[in-house]
Amino acid sequence: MPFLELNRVSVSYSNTPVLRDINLYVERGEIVTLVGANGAGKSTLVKAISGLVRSQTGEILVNGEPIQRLPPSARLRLGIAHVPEGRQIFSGMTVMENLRLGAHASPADVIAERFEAVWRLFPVLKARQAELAGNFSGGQQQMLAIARGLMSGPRILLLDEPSLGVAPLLVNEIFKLIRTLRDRGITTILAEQNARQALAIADRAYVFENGKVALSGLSKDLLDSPEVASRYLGIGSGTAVSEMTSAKLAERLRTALSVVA
Amino acid sequence: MWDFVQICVGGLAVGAIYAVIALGFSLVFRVTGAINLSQGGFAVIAAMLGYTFAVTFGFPLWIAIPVAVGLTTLGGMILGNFTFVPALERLSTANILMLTAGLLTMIQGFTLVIWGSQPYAMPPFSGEAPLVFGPIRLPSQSIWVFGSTAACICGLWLLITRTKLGRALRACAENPTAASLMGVDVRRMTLFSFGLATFIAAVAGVMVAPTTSLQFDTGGLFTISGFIAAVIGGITSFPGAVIGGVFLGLTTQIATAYISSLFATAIALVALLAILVWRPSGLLQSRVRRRHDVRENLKASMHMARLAGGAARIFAILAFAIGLLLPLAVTDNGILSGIVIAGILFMTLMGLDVLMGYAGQVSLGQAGFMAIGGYTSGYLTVNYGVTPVVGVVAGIVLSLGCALILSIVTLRLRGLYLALATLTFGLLVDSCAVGFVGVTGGPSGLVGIPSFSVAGHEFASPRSMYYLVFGLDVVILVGLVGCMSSGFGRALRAIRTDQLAADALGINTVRYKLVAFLISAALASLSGSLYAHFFNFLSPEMVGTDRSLELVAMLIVGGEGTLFGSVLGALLLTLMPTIFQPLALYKTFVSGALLVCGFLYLPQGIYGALVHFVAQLTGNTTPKVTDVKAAGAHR
Repeated sequence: MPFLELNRVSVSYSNTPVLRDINLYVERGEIVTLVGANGAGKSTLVKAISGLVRSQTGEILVNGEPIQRLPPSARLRLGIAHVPEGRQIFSGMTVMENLRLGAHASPADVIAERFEAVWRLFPVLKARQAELAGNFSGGQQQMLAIARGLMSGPRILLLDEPSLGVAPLLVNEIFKLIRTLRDRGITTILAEQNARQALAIADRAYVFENGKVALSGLSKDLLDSPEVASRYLGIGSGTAVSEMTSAKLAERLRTALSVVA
Repeated sequence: MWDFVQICVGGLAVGAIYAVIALGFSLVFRVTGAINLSQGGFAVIAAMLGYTFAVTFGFPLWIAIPVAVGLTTLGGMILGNFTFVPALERLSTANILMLTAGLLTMIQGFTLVIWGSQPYAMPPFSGEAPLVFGPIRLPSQSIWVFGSTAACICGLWLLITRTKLGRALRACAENPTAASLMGVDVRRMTLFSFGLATFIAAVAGVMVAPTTSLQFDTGGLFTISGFIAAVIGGITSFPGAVIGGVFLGLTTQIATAYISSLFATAIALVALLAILVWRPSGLLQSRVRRRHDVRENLKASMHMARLAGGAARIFAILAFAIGLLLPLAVTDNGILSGIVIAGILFMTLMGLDVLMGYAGQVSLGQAGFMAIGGYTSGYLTVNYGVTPVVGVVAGIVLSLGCALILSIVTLRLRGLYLALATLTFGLLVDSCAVGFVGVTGGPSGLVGIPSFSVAGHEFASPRSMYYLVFGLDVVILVGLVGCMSSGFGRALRAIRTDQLAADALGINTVRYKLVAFLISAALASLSGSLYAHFFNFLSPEMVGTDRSLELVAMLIVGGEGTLFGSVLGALLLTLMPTIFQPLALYKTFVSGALLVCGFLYLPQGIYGALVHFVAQLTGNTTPKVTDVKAAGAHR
């Protein structure tokens, strides 16, 4: 039995369908990435799993138990933590307060050890724990948002666009971090527009198009298939096309010049 | 010198109460982003309960007071759970403001039914003898007032900054979506903050009870003072609430002592307007900005109910015919007069709809322009014998002048601060109407205003007045409908949806807002004049702040942004007391309850419900909500 399973899940916002009949599963300890264009429904799917939006039909199962009727707080207690798009940290509060809120639904006796774990992963945050979170850079805010998610002691981490608005160097660090978390037994669902990097670290991937799963499979297979990569991910053959165009252009220039000469 | 200190002490005691109520405003606003006007009502309920337990039943104070506060808080939470909390999920903030105004009316009506309309005076907690410090005399009750204020401030501060619950409350204030991801139950926190604000108001009520006489409608005064105090200070800031309350208390007391008791309020209000010009968002600003989630955009665009073209034409003709034939069917002069009044108010409402429904500029002081129009026209016809038409025109000119001056303040403001500035304007006109006895006749009103007449033809009977008003309404309505379907209406709606975006599109937002404001002022003035001529009398409470709030309620109950819809609200709220005369005691309660239910169950107003009904009847699936909503939801 998969750890998390979605059967024919549909979501619409005021009668406009956004997700249609999504089937998806995630095994324990996997990194699964959801890729696709802007507006393809990745974020909505993540929200449906965490309970921010309600799915109209279908079921969402964790360990075989349906959770689609539970409020976000109950899903959090089942170990589903959602690190939302755009970070959504509490910018008027200190790092410490943000992290404490992350553990809001957890019993008091585990909070100290969660802090220990988070400080080990993010020494920067420990050094700046009394500062206002709003003063941090985009990358540091993303780190804080992930740390805040980890404070609930999740078994499944939902990461929505963690690379958005983050400097490239820090993006690498965040992706490295996701692998580290997997080594500690945290299952991760990663919704990303930065498809190449997401596929590089993920085990499996689902490609979204217009609210449907267009493709799914092992991420290395998806990366290796040039046709898939160009059609859905905008990588791979795209560069080949532009090389061809520039070669043609050079050719035409040369002939034009020779005529003049 | 000692006199001055004595006056300041008095001002501080009054200010302390305002500050406590303002704290409640701040608290609810910070957690929910909405204004809760019902608090003043709870303060009075708690005081009345305290009186009943302590004086009528003879319980000792240490039992009576906590029980009164406890019962009020409990009642408030139950009421909040079924009204305020569900409304937050469905209504725009402006509608929630009016919903809580409805709650306030309902609570006042409840107080009226239980305790009647006579004033109550509670004995001071620790005897009548004042405390004497050298030349300063301090009423013993003010020690209680200061003490409880300090306790409320400290308690709230500790709760907010030092506890897990407080952290969760702050999280809801800053970002409700993220808070719910942290496992915070946002709905429960909302209810808790509502209950806590009720508790604070109840404490303020029982503490202030011995220093003043309380009546069923004192709650409105508490609410307005608390609201003003909260906004002066900066609504998101707790220290700001305290500063605002103390400022308001001190200004009123000093103005009363040194200038005139009649103008004390007016002076405080002018000071307030000056502050709003200087600091458009209050004295203290919180460093935390509330995040606007997508839900709020959705709610902002929910108001547009439209009939399909063909059906609209049929219904317009039908409505015109009904309007034309109505006086033949209605023979009762009382009811016909009620309809005439509704028709007169409809003129103000159409202007208000242009301002609120289209341009999205909240106005809680529209009756102020009615007052200017009514008193100008009344004064000129009574004292100088000019014809009513000249009086009406003079009123409109004066109103436009006042609107221009007021626009210096209002054009800079948005949202709540705009609501406050317009409320202040209404209160200012109100207190001038009371204060300038020579012109307005003061509180007892201006008598002997002649009936309206044009070229010797007098509109004295309700029926003749009906046709005059009906004709004017139709002309104005047709004119405005034309206006609103042109580029002007589109520009206004763009401003309502997103002022910044409208600016970026090259829409001169300042000019459009000003024009909308002037239209609304002129129409309100016209309707105020006709109102005075129809009654042959005008008194301050006929065109006071209660009227302003009632106007907004009529507009929203009828259907905002539809121009026509508000006439339904006007008819409903005007005719109800006439038809249910025998139940006059329950009138306030019922009209409050009706408002609250209207907001909860008919968020698009009666007009919206009718449109929906017609669309279902004809099988016409007109999209009830415009595309803006779908676009907003896609985020």
